[in-house]
Amino acid sequence: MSADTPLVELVGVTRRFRQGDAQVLGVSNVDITLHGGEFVVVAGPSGSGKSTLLHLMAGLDDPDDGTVRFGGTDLRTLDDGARAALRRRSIGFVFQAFNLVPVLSAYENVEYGLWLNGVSGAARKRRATEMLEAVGLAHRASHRPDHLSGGERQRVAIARALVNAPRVVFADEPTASLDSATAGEIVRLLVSLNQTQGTTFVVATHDPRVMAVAPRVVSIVDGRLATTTGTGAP
Amino acid sequence: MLPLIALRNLLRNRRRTALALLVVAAGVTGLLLTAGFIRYSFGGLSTAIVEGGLAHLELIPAADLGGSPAATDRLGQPPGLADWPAVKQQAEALPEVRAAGAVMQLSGMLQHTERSAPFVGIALEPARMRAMGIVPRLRAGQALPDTAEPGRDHALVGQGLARALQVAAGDVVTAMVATADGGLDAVDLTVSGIFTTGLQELDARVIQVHLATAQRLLGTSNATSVLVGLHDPATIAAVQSTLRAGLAAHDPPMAVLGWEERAPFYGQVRGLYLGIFVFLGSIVALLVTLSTANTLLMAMLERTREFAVLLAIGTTRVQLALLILCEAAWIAVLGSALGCLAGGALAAAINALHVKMPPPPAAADPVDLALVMAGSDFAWAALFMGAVLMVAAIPPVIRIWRLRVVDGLAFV
Repeated sequence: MSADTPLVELVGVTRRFRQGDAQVLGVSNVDITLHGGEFVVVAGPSGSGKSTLLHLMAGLDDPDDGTVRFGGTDLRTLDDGARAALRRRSIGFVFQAFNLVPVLSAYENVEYGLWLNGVSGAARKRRATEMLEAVGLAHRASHRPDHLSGGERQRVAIARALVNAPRVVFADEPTASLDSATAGEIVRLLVSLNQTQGTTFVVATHDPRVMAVAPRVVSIVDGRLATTTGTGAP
Repeated sequence: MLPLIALRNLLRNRRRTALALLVVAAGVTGLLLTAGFIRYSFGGLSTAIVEGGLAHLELIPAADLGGSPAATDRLGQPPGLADWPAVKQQAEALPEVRAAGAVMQLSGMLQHTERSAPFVGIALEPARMRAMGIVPRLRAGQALPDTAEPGRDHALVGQGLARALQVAAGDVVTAMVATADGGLDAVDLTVSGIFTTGLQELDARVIQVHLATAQRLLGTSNATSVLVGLHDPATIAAVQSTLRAGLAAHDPPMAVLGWEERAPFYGQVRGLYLGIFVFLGSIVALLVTLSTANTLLMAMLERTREFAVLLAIGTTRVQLALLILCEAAWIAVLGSALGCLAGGALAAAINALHVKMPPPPAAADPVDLALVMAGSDFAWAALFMGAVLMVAAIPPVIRIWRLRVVDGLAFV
């Protein structure tokens, strides 16, 4: 992949869903290009198609029409195993509901991603500890998710998403389940990680605090891209 | 990491996991107790057969084997083994052989006062039989003396026959047999004792006499066959092979038969018990499969969103399938361990109680309810449960395989 190759590229992407006998439009004829190092917010009200867009970009779902390329590779050409490998190595996820593995400690949740990539025990320990320190949770490493606050859980989720140094992190409403102060901390953490580590972030949200700090905001309404502001560069 | 996650996942719904473990443990316990009883029954039956008079091996002229055309031709003829002392000596020369003794079969009528009844007789060498561990189960009186002098012949009478003829120990009965030339010969026998074979039908017909008595009665010095008792039943095949080779040049040709070949009902009983065991095992497998498959499937369905997240962050479907299989394996291992403990404890308790069961059909005596537990049974029961749990894990694995990540992420 050359330096000019977009990290993620959607060309004429449409995704429809079936609800009973009716067809519902998830996203319609979307063209969007994301480059490495960007911090992009996909903004829009609930049901506007933000999550669908993220799923398509990450190869979790396939479009009915159009093409999704990741690092220049058409995702349609990848089978299930190749997509899993792509997500394991190049993509991180942060979810609204944190979605940590409840039976694993904070440390083990972060370590899990490294284990998936076959990282050896000693290297796993070092890297997972570094990531927990980076999100300020080293002192809570041994706690299970149900003993952590919402903000702490989301920090663990961010550490998990970043532990394999992915090329892009997709965050779906990462502040929606948090109180105002904690949401602010998470936003600052994401921006800081983008600026210090150069990780690309694509954040689906309707939180104005996130939109306020994003260099690039892509608005989506009823599955169609409405406006784009900024360039995405930090 | 997967086994660790799987184990912790089992603790998420402890009540459901406990129920699954209980089902597996009950299945293992049931299998172990059944296997223990069958093992005890096989052991008891084989010992009863061997020590009841069949011994481990029989060396018999091939022409005298029941069912052969030659044997049919020889009906009414005297027994055909002339050099039985040499054959016996040859067998006893083997270190695995505990003792050997000649026997003869005869039949005729037994008379006491005004009563008479047909009998089947076993003529034997009491001292040699005793050396083989074959001793009559006396109900009254004494065993046969070691020797039988002319005019001082003795007999043991089956308890059913003794009842029919109103014979008691010390009475004198007359045995009449057909001789080879078509005549009749008779001998007076002092009843040493009353015995049982354990089988009612046989007890109503059987007598035991000394080999020398039968030989005098039939006017022959031959025997029907030589019985061989071994120190260790596990050496039957090896000794059988050695004796076959050693008697290969014998005239007439000899057959060397193991006790199982001469006790076809043992094979039938064994087949029946094994059939029951397979049937029971199938039912246990079905119940455990249905129960644990439901447990595993419920656990998977409740965690649909979690599985979708794991897929989203790069876990492969194979790894998730392995996670489910690990959970099933833990249930099998822990449940089997519990079942083995419970099975062992119950077996020990049952054996300690010395429970008597009514006599089986055609048997004369009550039998013990006892269990013989073998280490291999524990291992097989655990392996069996492992296989059952792997089958039970198939439905959730299929669901994992078909799970669409975006559908799973939307699962509430």
